[in-house]
Amino acid sequence: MTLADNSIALHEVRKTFGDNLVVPGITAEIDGGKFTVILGPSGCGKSTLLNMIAGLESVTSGTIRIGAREVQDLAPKERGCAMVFQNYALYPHMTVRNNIGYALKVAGVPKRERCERIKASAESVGLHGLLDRRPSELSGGQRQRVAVARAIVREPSVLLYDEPLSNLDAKLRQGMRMELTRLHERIGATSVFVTHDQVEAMTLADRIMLLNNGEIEQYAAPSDLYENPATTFVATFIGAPAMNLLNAEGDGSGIRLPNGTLLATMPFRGPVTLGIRPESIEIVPDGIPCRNVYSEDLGSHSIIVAEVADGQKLHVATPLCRRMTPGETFSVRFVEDAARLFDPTSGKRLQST
Amino acid sequence: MVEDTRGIDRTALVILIVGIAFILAPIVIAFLTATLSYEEFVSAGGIGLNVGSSFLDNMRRIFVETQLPGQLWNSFVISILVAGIKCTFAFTATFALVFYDCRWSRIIFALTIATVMLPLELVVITTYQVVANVAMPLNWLIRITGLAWLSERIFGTMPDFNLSLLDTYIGVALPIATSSTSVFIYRQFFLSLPKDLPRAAAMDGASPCRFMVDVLLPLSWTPLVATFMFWFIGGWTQYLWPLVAAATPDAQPAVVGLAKLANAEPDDIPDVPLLMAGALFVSFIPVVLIGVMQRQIVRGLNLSEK
Amino acid sequence: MRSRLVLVAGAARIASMTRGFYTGRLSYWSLVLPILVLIVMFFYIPVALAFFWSFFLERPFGGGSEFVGFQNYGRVLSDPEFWNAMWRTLIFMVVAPGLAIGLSLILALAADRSIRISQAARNIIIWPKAVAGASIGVVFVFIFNPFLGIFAPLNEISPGIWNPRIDGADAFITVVIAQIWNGIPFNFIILLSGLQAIPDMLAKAAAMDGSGPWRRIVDLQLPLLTPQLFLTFVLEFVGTVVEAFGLIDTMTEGGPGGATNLLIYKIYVDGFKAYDLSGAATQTALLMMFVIVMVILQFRLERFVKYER
Repeated sequence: MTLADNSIALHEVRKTFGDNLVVPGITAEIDGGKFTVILGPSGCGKSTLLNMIAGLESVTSGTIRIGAREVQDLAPKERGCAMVFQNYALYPHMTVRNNIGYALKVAGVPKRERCERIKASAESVGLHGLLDRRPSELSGGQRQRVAVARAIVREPSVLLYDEPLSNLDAKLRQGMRMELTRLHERIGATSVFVTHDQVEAMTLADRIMLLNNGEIEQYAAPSDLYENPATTFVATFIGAPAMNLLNAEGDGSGIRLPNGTLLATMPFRGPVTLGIRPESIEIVPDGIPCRNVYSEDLGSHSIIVAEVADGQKLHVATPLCRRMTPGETFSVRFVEDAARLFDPTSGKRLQST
Repeated sequence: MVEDTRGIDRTALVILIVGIAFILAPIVIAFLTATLSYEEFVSAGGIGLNVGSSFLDNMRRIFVETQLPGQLWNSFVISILVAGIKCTFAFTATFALVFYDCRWSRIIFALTIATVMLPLELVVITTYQVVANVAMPLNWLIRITGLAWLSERIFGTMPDFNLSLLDTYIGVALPIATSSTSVFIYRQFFLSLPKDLPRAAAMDGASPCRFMVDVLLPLSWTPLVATFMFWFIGGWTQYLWPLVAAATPDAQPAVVGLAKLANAEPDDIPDVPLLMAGALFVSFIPVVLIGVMQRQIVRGLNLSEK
Repeated sequence: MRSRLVLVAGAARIASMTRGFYTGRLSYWSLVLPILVLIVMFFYIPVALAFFWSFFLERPFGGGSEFVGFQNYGRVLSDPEFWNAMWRTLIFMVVAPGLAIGLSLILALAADRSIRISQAARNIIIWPKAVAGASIGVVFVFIFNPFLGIFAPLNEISPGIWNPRIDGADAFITVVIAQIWNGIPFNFIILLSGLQAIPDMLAKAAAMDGSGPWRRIVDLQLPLLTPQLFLTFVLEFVGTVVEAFGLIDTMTEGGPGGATNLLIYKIYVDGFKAYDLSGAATQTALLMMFVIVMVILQFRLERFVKYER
């Protein structure tokens, strides 16, 4: 099997619940063997999309292909997919061994082979010696591993994750991210991972599909999403704190605030939204005047919330851990390569930048 | 908590002692009286605290002189049928109502729950009519659809089916099993399970029925056992319906048999020791059941969540 | 446009959470059908038949039925014995549940305290649930026997002071006491479960606010117990209408002089002893309507007693 065989092609996939249009029509290709993250706020249709790929929801119209097969009308077990669920959805009354092996049992795999595959699968996620426990006797991280082992035991060509890390605490989550990446490299299945957490998306993904209201806002590599957001929605969704967006006006040579303060020298004319990441703002002795409203010292860097002349808020991230008192004034400079211009009405990025 | 609770605890102690005494008094009186012979009872002139030595003799008389032993078996079979039918029907139906997507589910749920509102005792008269001929609805159907007219033309006779379930175990049990509180209890329980379980089972390739048997059934053990015990006891303690549905002593459950026995005794000085022994004999199984299984029943019915 | 879509997506999410997951038609109906057939055959058809017969008269010697309109109702409603039975049912429905629930509540509050005897009490107090009303009747008719029972000494001092066989009030009291004995367990279980489900945190918070254990009964436990109290009232009201049958049939047979002839017993006698199918069906229909109205009224009250816990 070559990697291209497990690519997933969505063509005009639509989903309605009664009169409610949840996914208005998505066309996209998910690369075989790659780690793709579907990212979006809650209610954006990302879980519905994942369930449609898995076969847990029917599609209202459109086609889904996995490799060369059209699968939208097949039952879940015929699609070669496996899934890791948000609350793990382990069978509470079964031991870890039976949880992992249930799919094989249903499929009628002989007992001897079943045992070997359960063992191999459990070992590959580091579940030594826990095979005879019940889920209730395991920690959150261990349950997560069982859920993963249950998914990979059938050697699926596509692995689906439905917000699987949202129940873990922050420290465990980072560990699991690392393990999932390694696991992905080892088994080489096409992985599709749904989350609302942009940190998970940025760290895990080869490519991120950012959804909003059931439509793709941007579908690109993480760095691309971060540096070149296609819309103001993407700009504010990715990054913490988010990209600053300032309402400004271009006079042909520079972008200025309504009071005339020059923000960046760019050849643009007319009203515009200027986007700049907090870390692309430098504190300088002479530049755009700001007034400190609030500051957070995080040790490695500090975040300063400031007001520019017309009252618009600006987040500044600076490695200089400067203590600032509220009301103190200072001035900043935008790194001009990093500034992005957006259309103020449509929110789309202007191609010139 | 550091708190002075001596006053309230002492009051609670007194209340509970009085309560237990009130509950136990009839049982103790019945037991004491059942240890007396008829002659001892008559000479004692009624209720008393004397302990006799005729308990085993009275029990022997129950086996020799009354039909209660056979009727105890009837009670047992009827109660098993009631509990079994209630639990299986309610379990499969609730599984469908909770885990299937169907617009009829609301109506079916309402129809089953409404049965709780009107107890069987209220409609014994017409339930008797139905059980006396369970083919009656079939006859209506034949008449309404015009099949009767057709058959009259062809065969010259009106089809009239007749099937009486009176005096049968199943005929006594089925109407008792209609009350569908279990649906409500199982529904609450199913809704408390992780909602992705059926999805996980579907990804593992299990069909709905396989999910019901492999996953839901073992998980529901606690409420199933509790409701089974509860309805077993409920079936055992039924009186009015078995009284009318089972006319022959051979088909009657023990509670009805006991009442018949009591009504047959003379009014002035009845053979109270025998009756008390009979009452204990009839109540022994369910009382022991509730005493031993109390925890499981209360936990499984999950009455705290309404 | 966007905000509307978000709303729609949110609604779909809620809808998809309450929706069942499986879709198979055939398996759905084969799972649901057994219970549907059962309740239609042995519940809905009998209920409908009762209303049918309340408008029809059975021809003598099995000659089918004859539509008589409201004649049956007229006959029943003009019968003073019906109103007597109805009135006694109503009194019984107020007195017996009121006492049974009140006593259960006191017992549950006591058993909720963690003292040594409460474990035993929690077990023993529910035993009567396993005893049939008719069996209780057989025992209680002996206990309250005027010459052999516990009040026999009273009669020796002053003959005739206690005789449920002659005195209607005495007979009524014996039935009520037997009903209370039988009714305590279920109410006790429900109320005790309710008390134990009250979060411990609340008692601690109230204690921090300076409320002692007695005060907490009134200020905390009783208000939070209202849903369970409400439930017990609903169940007891319907229950007592029919449960008294076993007691009456074994203890008093409706006597003396009809003093304990509740409607449920009258219907049984009219239907199965006097073979008056239409009369019994009409009274059944009236009693059913009465019960339904009571239940609806009670559920109207329910919204005053619901708390989010």
